[in-house]
Amino acid sequence: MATTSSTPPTPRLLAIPQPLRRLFNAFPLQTLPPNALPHRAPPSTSSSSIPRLYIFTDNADDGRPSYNPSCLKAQAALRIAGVHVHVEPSNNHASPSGALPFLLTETGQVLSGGKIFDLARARGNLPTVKDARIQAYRALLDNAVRPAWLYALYLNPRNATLLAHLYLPSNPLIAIPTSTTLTQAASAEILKTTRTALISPLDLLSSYREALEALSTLLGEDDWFFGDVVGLFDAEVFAYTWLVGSLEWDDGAMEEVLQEFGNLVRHRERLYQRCWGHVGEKVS
Amino acid sequence: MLELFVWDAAFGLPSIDAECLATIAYLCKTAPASSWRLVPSNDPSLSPASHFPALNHDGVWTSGFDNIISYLTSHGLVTPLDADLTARQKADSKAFKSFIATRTAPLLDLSLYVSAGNWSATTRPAYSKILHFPLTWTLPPLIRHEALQRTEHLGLAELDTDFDPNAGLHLSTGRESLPESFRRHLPVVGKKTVREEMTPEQATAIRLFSLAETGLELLEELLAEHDGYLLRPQLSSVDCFAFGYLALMLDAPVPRAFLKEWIGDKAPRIQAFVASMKSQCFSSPGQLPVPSPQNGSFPGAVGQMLDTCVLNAPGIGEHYATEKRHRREQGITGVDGRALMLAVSVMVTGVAMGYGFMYYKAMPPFGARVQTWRAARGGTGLSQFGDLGFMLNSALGAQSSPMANAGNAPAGRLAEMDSDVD
Repeated sequence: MATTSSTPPTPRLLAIPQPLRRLFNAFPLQTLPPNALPHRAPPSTSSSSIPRLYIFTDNADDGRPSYNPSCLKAQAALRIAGVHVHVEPSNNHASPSGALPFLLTETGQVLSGGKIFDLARARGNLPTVKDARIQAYRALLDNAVRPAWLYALYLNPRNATLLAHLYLPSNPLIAIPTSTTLTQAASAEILKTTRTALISPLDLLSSYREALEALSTLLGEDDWFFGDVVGLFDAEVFAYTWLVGSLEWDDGAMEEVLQEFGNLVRHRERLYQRCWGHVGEKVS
Repeated sequence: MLELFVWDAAFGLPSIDAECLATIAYLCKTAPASSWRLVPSNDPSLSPASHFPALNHDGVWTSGFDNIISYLTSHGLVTPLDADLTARQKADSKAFKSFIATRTAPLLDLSLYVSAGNWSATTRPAYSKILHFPLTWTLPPLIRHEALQRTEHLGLAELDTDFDPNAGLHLSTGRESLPESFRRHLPVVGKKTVREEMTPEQATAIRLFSLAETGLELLEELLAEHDGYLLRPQLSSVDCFAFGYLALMLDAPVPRAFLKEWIGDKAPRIQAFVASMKSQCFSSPGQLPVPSPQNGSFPGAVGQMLDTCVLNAPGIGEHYATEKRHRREQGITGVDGRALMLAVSVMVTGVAMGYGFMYYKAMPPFGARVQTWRAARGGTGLSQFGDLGFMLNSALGAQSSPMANAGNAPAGRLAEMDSDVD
């Protein structure tokens, strides 16, 4: 049976001589305080007390509305619910699911898709609508408004400047393939939704008009959709109406159609006032 | 005369496509059978939008359920179903149609096309019946591919596994008939786990169930609310639209009938609705005009076959489809700059590849399979005197001749440089 050696190794030969040891102990001569983080750096995880929402946006500082409908929907829903989040400008490559928006909670959990709204419901005040028709009207947004939006932004050559400004990098070596990819993805998405073989801009626009007409009838003279309190569906409609009315379109066909429906325009203003009425005061 | 071009009949219904079926039902309820013709076809490119259902009214083409209905109504060709709707009902009608197209239709795609079991047992044979010879091989995969893409977002790709655990060829089948020596080399198949015993539909049953609930529950509630109809207590166009999808869900004799089971369990009103619509529209023979199939001319059929072949080709197919769509959308028929450039680039690539191939073939061979090894004639010393001389020569190898020392008379030579023998 082997025994462990009980004699400690004698480090006599390797020991640092006393004069050298004293010299080394004198360092460092002075310790400087750590440099401050850059201004735009995210707060470190341990110190963040509020969740962070990663979206497409130009400028995070004043929390202005995002230019991407699904990001704007999440942003508006969180503001409606009264849940404070720190907005981070980001892009799809940063997202674990491959798409924005996503939300990083204080505990480091990543939420995306419907889970963001679950969080808004749990922490804030986002009413749940009982009316079963809301599913049908949600489908209306997916089926009639979204394809028209995709066509207008990604495929309409007249709005190419806007697309380049919002989503494309300035370097043409990257911008040209990115733009091809975006165009292909958008046309595939439109064809899948409309279940047709060809993309017809006229059909898309007339379907969009019918959808807005239906939404306008649904809203009537009420302040909000489906009841007296503002809810998630308002955020969904706002995500499109706000962007249709506020981006710098060269081909403003969608905006012209929107202007025909006064109550939808007023709904858009009302929700903006409610959520972003006091922009300038820093969100925290 | 109105001509309605649709996909051909299947499963005892006048069309295999839900939207076509919906349009047939609408025309059936609004126009007398003598005023229109039903044209089953399998070439959607007959219509300018490449989409069925398509209506040809004396040369004016319209396609798609909504477009056809608004065309028929605005030209006063039918007695419209939606004439006296209130504004709110109109809004609801549009929303319900969207709901059916985005939430209910993917269920039908899953059941008929994505599920490999149902596709091979039911849908594919149905297409084989309505298509003629070469198209039965090329067209159905394309239709299925579209359905797969439409349901991609549901994340149910595992339905598309051809593996059926309880049938077909498996390592364990016929194991006993093999000789013992072979059997030892086969992996031992133990008892299968529960997960392995299940078909993909059973494994994803919970998700399929919740999808069916999202897509069908609202319709069941609406039917309950409006006395057997979706929008109001009488027929409207949205009922026809829903009927197209629901009838195919119930009538297609699929082996993995998760939709039929869900409807049977949870939605008796949907069943009653489909039954009543069917009896209203298709039961008595005079209600539908006699189908007069039209499948284009012979060159058209050959063209379609080549077209579908190219569309099926991996890699090229997608580019071809994009290009074809672009041309149809822009209404380009002849040769324009873009097509010319494309043709020239294809030609240049072809020429370059052909030249490369020829160049490769013309290169000196890197190695030959046959190697010859010959004893040199007029060799050294005694070896020129036959075998015996050769033996003597090797025995006296130490006294090699001056010629051999010079090294220019080897005993043999490799005809080729490469000695890699296979």
